Parts: sequence; structure tokens; C-alpha cells
Amino acid sequence: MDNETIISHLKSIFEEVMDVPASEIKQDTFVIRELEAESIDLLELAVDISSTFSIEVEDDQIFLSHLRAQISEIAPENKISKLTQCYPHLSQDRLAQILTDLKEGPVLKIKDLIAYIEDNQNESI
Amino acid sequence: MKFSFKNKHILITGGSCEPAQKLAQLALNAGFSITLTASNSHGIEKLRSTFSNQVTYALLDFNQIETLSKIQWKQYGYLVDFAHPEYETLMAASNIEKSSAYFNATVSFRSALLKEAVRGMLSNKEGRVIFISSTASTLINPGQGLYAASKAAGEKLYQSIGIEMGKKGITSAILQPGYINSGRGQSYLAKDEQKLLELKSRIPTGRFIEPIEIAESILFLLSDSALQINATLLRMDGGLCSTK
Repeated sequence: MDNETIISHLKSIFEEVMDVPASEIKQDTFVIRELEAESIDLLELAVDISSTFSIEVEDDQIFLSHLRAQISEIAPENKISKLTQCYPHLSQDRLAQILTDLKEGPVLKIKDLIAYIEDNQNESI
Repeated sequence: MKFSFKNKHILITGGSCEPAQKLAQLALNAGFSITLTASNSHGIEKLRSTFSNQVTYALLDFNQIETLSKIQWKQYGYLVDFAHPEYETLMAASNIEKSSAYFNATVSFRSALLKEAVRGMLSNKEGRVIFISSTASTLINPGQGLYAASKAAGEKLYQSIGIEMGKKGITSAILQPGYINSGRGQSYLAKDEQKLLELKSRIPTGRFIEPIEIAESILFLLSDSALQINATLLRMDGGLCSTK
């Protein structure tokens, strides 16, 4: 499934789950910081993403739920390499961007969900 | 009674116990589809000898987490959870490995089961999950400590589902029966005639519960009228726990 189709499906899912207009969903939209998704919303998003894309969804991984705790346990010189193991769907560039952005609030973006979906489509259920 | 969920299909775990089988029959008469679970193929065959093609069957072994993935969860609008492995022993005599495995089966597996069931129900934005606990979690007899602890944990898991998912149309209830004239309660009581009489005298209604009464109460809890009984425990014990 190509990137445009994934985004199109995600827009429908966000419209359904969170009543967010499709026009507000862009690659760089923050899921929690801007769209104000709560834990119950994330649960619904996970279920709908799993169903729509026929993939197994590990909630903690797709939503970066334990990112801050994990970062606090990693030595500074190993952060990118260790985080790559935890979140193999995210590029090193994206992880570096996340580390810079952390202090501004929850870092999860729509493009991270797209990356997860693309990465897991090879292991479809 | 009305049952309006789109998926009028109940998954009943622990299908071999008498109240579960009574419930299955009542629910079939009320127009439900039923799936009964057992922990092994022998249990499934025993159920099949009673219910034949009236119901479908699923293997659900609380000691094998992978059995959860074999179930098509999205088809169920209702879950009634009777299954509960046995391990009765004095606390100070318990085997640590067996205790650990017991809690894995009765608490961790149950948590995973609820996760799968609720995620399946979330697709349709409606669902009802009922946990069949026991007054043993309130009034503990010697030897029942682990059983009581695991039942109490199950109560809290189900209570949490009703709290977290209520606004998404998925509600929960916990039924806490007292002494039932069947199965585990009956085998416990049969050991001591004197104890049996003594016990009946302590119950304000003076008798044990019949399996059909449990089944009828559960059927009510599954109905549209009962959905506001959410994240709540109901005790059905003839008044045993309400008196000294």
C-alpha cells in the first residue's frame, strides 16, 4: 500500500475516532500535542489501524508510550542506536528530531504512524 | 428481555460447569449464538456430547497464551467468563512454582483475554463482559487463599473495563455467587455433612443456589435493561456475606 493510500485511510480513521477533519491530518501533525488524543482514543486508533491495514499493532510501540522512560535509562552516547532497537520503524533522522523536540511535549506525529504501518505491512496478519 | 447488540454471540469460558451450560441453553432459547470454551480437546468433546451442533466450540487453555490468538474476537458482542483453574492449598504449604503458574493463568491470562475481547468489541462500539467470581474472594476458607486472591484480581480487571470503556459502549459486571448446589462448591461441602448443615444455617435463605438461578441472573445482566449496572459487583449468596 503506498504512502498516499495510507494517509487517506488514516484520515478516515481519525475522522471516525476523534472527529478530526481530514484537512487537519498532515504528515507532521502531532497526534497528542495538537490533536489532543487521549489514551482511550489511542486504543481505538490502534484497533482501527490493525483492522484497516491488517497488521498486528503493539500499542506501546506505535504510540511511543514509554519513550521518555526509555530515554532516561539510556546513556547519552547510545541514545539513537538503542532507540532504533526499540522503534525499528523510525529512521535515525526521525529519532534525532524526536530527541531535540522532547521538551516541547508529546512527540508522536502522523508520519510515525505511517512509518509503523509501512514497516509492519510485510508481516500482515 | 431485549438484547440489542449487533453481534448477538456470546463467548462463554469454562463451558463445562453446570451454571455455564444452563446459561448456554437459556441464551440459545433467547436467540443467541453461543461459543463454549474448554481447556483441552477432551473437554470440548464432552461439551459436544451435550450440545452437538447447537453451539460452536473453542479451545482456551489458561496456561497457554497462544490459544487466545486462535479465536475470532470480533464476532462476540458478549463475554461470560466462568473459567477458573483450581489450586487449593494452605498458603504456607503452597508450591512457589505452582502458585506463580496459577496467577499467570488466572490473572495474567485473564487480563490478556479481556484485552482481546474488548478490542474485538470496540470495532462495533458495543459489548458486555461478565465475570463470574465467588464469595470466596470475600469470605475465605482455609486453603482458598490463592483462589480468593485470583478471583479478587479478576473482579478488579472487569471493574476496570467498565470504567475505561463505558463511554465506548462496552460495559462490565461481576457476579459473585455464594455456595452453589453443583460442582466445586458441592465437592467442597460433600466432605463434611455436619459442616453442610452448619453452613446452610448461616445463610439467611437457608439453602444453596441452584445453577439455573445463576444462569437466569447472568442472562438478565446481559440484557439491555442491565447495561447501566456497570463496573459493579453483584453478590448472589442468599445473604451469607451480609450477616455475622
